[in-house]
Amino acid sequence: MKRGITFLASLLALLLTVGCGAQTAPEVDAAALAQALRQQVSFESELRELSASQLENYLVLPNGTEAYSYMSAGTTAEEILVAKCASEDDARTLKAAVESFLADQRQEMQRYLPEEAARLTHAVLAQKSVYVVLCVSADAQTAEQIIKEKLG
Amino acid sequence: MNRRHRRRRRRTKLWMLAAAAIVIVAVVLIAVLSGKKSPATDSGDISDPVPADTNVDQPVTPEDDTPEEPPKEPYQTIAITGDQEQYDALYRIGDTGFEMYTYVDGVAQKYAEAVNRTADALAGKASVYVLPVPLSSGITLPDALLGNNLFDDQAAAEEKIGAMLNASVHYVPLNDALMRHRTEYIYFRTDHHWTALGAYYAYRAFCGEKGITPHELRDYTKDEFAGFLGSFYRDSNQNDQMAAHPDVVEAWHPVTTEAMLDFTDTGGNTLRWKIIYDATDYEAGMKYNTFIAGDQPFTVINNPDVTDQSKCVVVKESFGNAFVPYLVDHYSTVYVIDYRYWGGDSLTDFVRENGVQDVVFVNNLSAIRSSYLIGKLQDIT
Repeated sequence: MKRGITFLASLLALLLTVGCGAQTAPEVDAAALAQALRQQVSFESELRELSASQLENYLVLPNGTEAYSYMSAGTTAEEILVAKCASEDDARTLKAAVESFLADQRQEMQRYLPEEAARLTHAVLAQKSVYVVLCVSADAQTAEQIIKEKLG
Repeated sequence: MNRRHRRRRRRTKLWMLAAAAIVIVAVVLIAVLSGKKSPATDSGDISDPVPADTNVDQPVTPEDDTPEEPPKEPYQTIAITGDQEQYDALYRIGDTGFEMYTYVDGVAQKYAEAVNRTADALAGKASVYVLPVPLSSGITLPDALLGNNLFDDQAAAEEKIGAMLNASVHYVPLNDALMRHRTEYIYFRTDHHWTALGAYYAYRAFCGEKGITPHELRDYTKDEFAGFLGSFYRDSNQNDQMAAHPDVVEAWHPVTTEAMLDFTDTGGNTLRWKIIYDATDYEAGMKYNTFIAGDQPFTVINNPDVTDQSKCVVVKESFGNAFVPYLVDHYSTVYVIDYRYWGGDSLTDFVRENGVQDVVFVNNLSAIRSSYLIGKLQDIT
């Protein structure tokens, strides 16, 4: 009996340790990551920064999300989103919303601006821990490198 | 043997009595119920093909002197003809494509918010009209497929959008107006747009809401541009049946011959153009661009034949292009804003600064389910 309890306690401790390990997220400065993408990735058009309320025109952000976003000031599909959510579940929800947004954008571009639809096929979308990052640019390789560097 | 026979006869009699009782009860029930209006009719059930302009809320009493409006004809039916194939978001039946449609409530709410916000901001200054345009998959799709899992009910979607709009918004539902003509050439087969004939029926509905008299089709001069193979042709990997039977773009010129169109392109250049341009030499996929120079960020059409300084602004994506020519004869100036590309920040500021009286939103149901497009619309409202 005693041995059983000890075993269960050890198992619980192990599970807690593993759980805590999974919860440990790399601490990323979301604003700095957004800036890095804006400055180091090549964009064809000028990007305009979206306010939080402007971003909500396009996406429903889970409560407690900190987000930085830019969209093309012209008609290209170029855009950046860096979001830090309150939880990993929220990040997954936001990522799904971004995927749906991209599908809508792709349909529109396929019909009216086919060259932008091609650009969207190179969209870089990543979710790690509580972070969601999107970058649409012809320079997808640089975007990918920066995201990998920051999020690990 | 005899006793058994008698018992059987008695049982048969009992069954006959029971059957007679059921028939009597059924007859009485039918008589009682037929005297009542069904609750669905009272509430204008969206599945009921009663036209939107029929006032279903008006109680009709036998003493009422006003003659009852004769019931409208039921919609014509459309059967499936040809093989069927699905490609991503497109469904093809023979030589005809249909966009698959899902109603997205969250996006529809944002759309209604954008319209309501505009109407509130312009209260007392301008009237706001809204025409949500059904897709062909809500109107000309064969009946057997309407409302199945690939095609949400667009009449119901229209009803939901209408219910979200403020009372001050002039709502122009189009589902019934187009269903009444569903066997006519009101949508292209090889492209996702409506034809100018479909847009004409919408124009008539708009005139009804605005209280003006529409022109008849015979008042206009018509051009035809054959050989149109649009987005459905491309999305179906250039289907052979569509290639063998391309669309014809019909275009009706405004009655006035004096109106001038100037558009500003995405590069900021302003050009003078024709309201209906000769699309004969356009590529097969570009012939819808005959209308108002295609999708330009900003367009102004001045009609010197209308001298009352009336002005409207149409807020649209491409479905609006085929609709705008009909408005030209009713206003001194028609402004057209394609919210996807327009560089302005505020629609309401534009309306105030330019003394516009009517704001007309012409937006198709596919746009009203797109988070990207309605986000763009929200940006300017």
